[in-house]
Amino acid sequence: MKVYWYIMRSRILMTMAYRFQVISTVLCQIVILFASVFFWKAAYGLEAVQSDTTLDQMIHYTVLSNLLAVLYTTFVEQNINQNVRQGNVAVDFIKPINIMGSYFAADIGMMIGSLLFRFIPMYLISGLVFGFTLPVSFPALMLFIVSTFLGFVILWCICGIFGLFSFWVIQLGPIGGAKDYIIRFLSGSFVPIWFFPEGIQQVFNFLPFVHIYQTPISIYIGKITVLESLFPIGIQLFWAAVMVLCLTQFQKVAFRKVVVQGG
Amino acid sequence: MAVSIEAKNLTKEFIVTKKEPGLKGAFKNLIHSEKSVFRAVNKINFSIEEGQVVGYIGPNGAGKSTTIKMMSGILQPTSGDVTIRGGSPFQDRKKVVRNLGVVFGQRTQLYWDLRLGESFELLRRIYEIDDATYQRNLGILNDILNIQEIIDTPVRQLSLGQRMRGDLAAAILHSPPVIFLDEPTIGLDVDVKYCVRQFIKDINDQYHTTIILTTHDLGDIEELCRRIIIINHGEIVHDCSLETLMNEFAPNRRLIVDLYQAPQEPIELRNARVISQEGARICLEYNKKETSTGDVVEAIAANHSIQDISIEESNIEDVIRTIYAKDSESA
Ligand SMILES: Nc1ncnc2c1ncn2[C@@H]1O[C@H](COP(=O)(O)OP(=O)(O)OP(=O)(O)O)[C@@H](O)[C@H]1O
Ligand SMILES: [Mg+2]
Repeated sequence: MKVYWYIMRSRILMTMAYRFQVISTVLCQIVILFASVFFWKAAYGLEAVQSDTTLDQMIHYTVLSNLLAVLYTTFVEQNINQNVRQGNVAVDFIKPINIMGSYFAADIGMMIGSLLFRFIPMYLISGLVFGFTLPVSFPALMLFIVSTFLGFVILWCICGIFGLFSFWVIQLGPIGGAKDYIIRFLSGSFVPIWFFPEGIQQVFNFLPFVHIYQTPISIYIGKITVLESLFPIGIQLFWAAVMVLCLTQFQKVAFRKVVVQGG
Repeated sequence: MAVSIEAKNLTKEFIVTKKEPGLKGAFKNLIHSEKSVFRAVNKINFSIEEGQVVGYIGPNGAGKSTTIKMMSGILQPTSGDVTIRGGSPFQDRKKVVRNLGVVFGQRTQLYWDLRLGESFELLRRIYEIDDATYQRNLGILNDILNIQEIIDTPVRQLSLGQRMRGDLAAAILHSPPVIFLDEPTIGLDVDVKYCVRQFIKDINDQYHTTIILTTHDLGDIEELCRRIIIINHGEIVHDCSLETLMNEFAPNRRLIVDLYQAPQEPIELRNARVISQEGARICLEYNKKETSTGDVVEAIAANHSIQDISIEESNIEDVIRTIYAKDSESA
């Protein structure tokens, strides 16, 4: 167990060492955040939007969505792909550790680093401009944290499964990037799915994707009440469990496929 | 003696897709690519006792690294199996590799961006090494490999020899009872090579570590290995002591004798064959098992006065070259 803590801790320290670089990427993300808020302002201004969601709620939704995207950066896929391509999987295999577990610990470490050096500065800047996005209640905040973590697990597993494809296809190329956009679209990160037709919403609600972004955000801004949130959190739990199971099973198959590149 | 490593009919096949050249070939490959099976390791069997140092040698592409990778749980065997201290490195990977130290001379297992010391710290947690053991091992390693000198350098800044020292230290930090070394002396200068050999000897002496060593440097084999296993085209062709091998393939010894006076007639001896005779220099060959050098010298000295003698032992490189060539012919 100790080793996973150690890996996590060293990742946090690493983001600290690179905090200058990290903070400069914040600027870029701030621009995207501002752009998406202005998009919604314009849409509501044109009365193009018919919704029981107020503009205020929508702004907070967008701000949070962009903030979550910062926390939801994973490196599993990239790590696996790089290790397979350079033949470094060999090095992972000869250590008595859970390989996926060590990648997870590393990404949790990065996430904590991002929380400190990207999430918080972005939260403060956007708060000063658009008004602070506060959770509706303390229980809502707690559930938001739980829900965010479950969302992260779901997303992480999807990325992990994609990464494991490297064992068959050495180069993933643009598939990985396309996948990120599809996930963000299906998860209601750009446009909440309550703007979609009823039928589609029903389907989406049972897919894992909405539970990555939309569920935690809805809890935070009070789009759903604490009591109402228990059901989607249940579905999140279900999907997190399914995804972890899929990942571990798939990992077994993939690891059997190992061919080490180079002598 | 307890058996440490055992391979039974161990086999590894690779599926190789034939890539046709050119654009047309690329399209063809998209639709249908020709696959063939290549058997890199073919039904090999061996059993290695605890504390043995075994040289695992063979020409390029013979299947040495593939065997090592199967033994360390990286590649799954196509068929057959291998056990390390009773456990299967593929089924109980985590349990088996805990008792294993592996060095791949051609690739580092240190963390590229970290200082060497930080890599060690991480390993200490991975293997759950307690403080006392860690400090003691670090001390021993420092004595042999002079680790202190490079411990604060990031791994990517280390020279090949320094990196190899780091890798060797990393592989035995947790005092594993079994070590695999895949070309640990590749590209090293004489000093570092000496130091690596010393290191292998020391840990084998002190901890009774089982070691499998692949190398193309026969000096390593000569100095370190009592037993050698020769593999060629994925099959084991010899498994014996270096001495047995030398006796079998190079049973003869050469003796060069310089006389004070060139003999009038060709020399003939009962116990040795004359290879050449030029003036006062005579070159003789005889079976070192059957005939003692003393007897040969005596036989010459009976009729001639000897000024100088020198003995030429048969060379291990020649022997190995003969074996490799012989196996390639028959394959
Ligand atoms: N991933 C792979 N795919 C296909 N063939 C492979 C693969 N890895 C190794 N081989 C083939 O298997 C054979 C054995 O390779 P291996 O690396 O075990 O040789 P080796 O004995 O270590 O040689 P060397 O002395 O050059 O290191 C070679 O012919 C090689 O081409
Ligand atoms: Mg090799």
